[in-house]
Amino acid sequence: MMNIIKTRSDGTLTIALEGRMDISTAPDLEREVKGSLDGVTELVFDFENLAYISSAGLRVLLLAQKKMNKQGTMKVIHVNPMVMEVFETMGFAGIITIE
Amino acid sequence: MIKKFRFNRITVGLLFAFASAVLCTALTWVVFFDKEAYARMQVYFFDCGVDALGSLICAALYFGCMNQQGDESKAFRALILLVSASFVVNACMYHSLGVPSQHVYTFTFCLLSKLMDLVMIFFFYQYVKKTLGFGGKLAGWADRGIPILMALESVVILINIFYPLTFFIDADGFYQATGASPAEDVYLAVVSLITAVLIIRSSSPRNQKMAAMTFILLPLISYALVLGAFGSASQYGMILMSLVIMYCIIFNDKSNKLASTQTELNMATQIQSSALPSVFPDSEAFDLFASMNTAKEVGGDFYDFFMIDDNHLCFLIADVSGKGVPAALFMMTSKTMIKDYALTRDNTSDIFTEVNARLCENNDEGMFATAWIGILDTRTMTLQYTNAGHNYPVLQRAGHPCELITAVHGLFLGGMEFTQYRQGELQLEPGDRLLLYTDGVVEAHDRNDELYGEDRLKSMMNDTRNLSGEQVLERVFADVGEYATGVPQFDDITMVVLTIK
Repeated sequence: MMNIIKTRSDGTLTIALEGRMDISTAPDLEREVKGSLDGVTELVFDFENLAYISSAGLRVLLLAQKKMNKQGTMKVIHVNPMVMEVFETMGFAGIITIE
Repeated sequence: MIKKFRFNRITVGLLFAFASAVLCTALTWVVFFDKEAYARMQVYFFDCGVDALGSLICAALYFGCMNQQGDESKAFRALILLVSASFVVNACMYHSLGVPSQHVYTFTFCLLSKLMDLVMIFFFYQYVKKTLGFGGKLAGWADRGIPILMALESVVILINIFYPLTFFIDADGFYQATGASPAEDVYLAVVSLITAVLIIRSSSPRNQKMAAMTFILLPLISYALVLGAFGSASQYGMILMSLVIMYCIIFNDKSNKLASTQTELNMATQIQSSALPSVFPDSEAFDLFASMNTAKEVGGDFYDFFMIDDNHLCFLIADVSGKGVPAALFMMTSKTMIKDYALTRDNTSDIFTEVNARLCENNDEGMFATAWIGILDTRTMTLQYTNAGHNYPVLQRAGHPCELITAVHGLFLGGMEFTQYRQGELQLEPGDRLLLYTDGVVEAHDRNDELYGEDRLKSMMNDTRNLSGEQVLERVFADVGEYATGVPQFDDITMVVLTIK
């Protein structure tokens, strides 16, 4: 189960994720990323309530990062230690902004 | 939120279909207890029975295709609901027919029934359009023309409210058609004809075309048989029969497709597993063993090993993001590429730097793989290795507890185009053991969502120090399975173990 909560103010889109992002829930986020980034110059992922992320989830983050490289900035905030460990193991910490 | 809404809409549809069935049955049942109604309705008793049975079958059909996705199923469900509503309206009409004081009801139900017929043929057109895929000029005209015709015909029928243009209810409460009644059938005839032509010209399989044609032909045949006599339940019966035929064809088609997909998936699994080496090197210097258990039919994990020359063993493990066919395709590409580069480069960092650059080309889907590669010089037992975002391997030095090799030399493969990978080096000694694994091992979770974890893996390795590599992998796999009892295997579980003799 994963809930996707979006808040938009001008060019900033904040996507808060709740639950687990794995092979079954990542496609939901992929649809959002592919569909609703028009005119977004700052994309913020709020991971405060994200308990788990699998490689399928990281793939979607990577897609978002690639898209945002062309049109603005992207950052991930409130990363919990477990998700942070996944980021670090995979070398992900080097290519996305984590606050 | 969206899911919830759709669930509700489909449930409402089902309730509607069942309510219609119950209502129709009740209306028929009432006649048994009402002598006066029985005497009056005897003639139409058969029609009433057809209505009741028909609406029951509609409910069952609706239930049967409730979980179908897609536009054509939506159109099909709408058609079923409309037919089932027609049965209710018909059954109601028979109840007031022939009762002079209720002629307003009779008139209303007749009017409704005629309007529903118009919508029904329109829904049918929408359904076949979506299932068979109409194209060309005629389809373009039909798309614009049918709604206009439907509006005109509705006006013709609605005029009867003010002036008996095509039908009226006489003083005894019976239905009477006027001389202009054929005007009612113009739309029906035109739309049926256009749809029939479009069906015949479409490039769909013949059984689908024939099933769709029954919707037009069966009521026509039945109409001809009763010579247009009043009491059209037999026509609806025919329409229903056509719906059942279409339903069967849809399911037949789906299960055929499913069966061929399954066969193809089985073949893909075969190809994939035969791509992984299963004959392990027989060497004086080392012992190597690997295993892979996929969670889905085709998976994204892989391992590989081969001798670069007489003295260099290359071995690797990788985990592709995602699962299923896309992951398997990416896996085959990366595996081939790694081997190609490994045979021509002599250090692991160059291999991954080149492979990554190639994988990043045209990678619009954002697929990637975490991977770990090592090259062992079998004369000196030095191991050089590069880790592209993969799980930390477990190193077990002879006589020491296990430790993790925590160096990361770069991002996963396929992530960023110009990633420059680095490498590390280890001197191995006789009795040392190295375990590579994918996250299916450490991220296997129990019923409480607790992960298997590296610590458990390390202690498992410590306990199996004296066993052969093959036995170690069996024990770890069994332990992971035991840990995750009652939870379906979620991820591929792949391991490679190297033991220095």
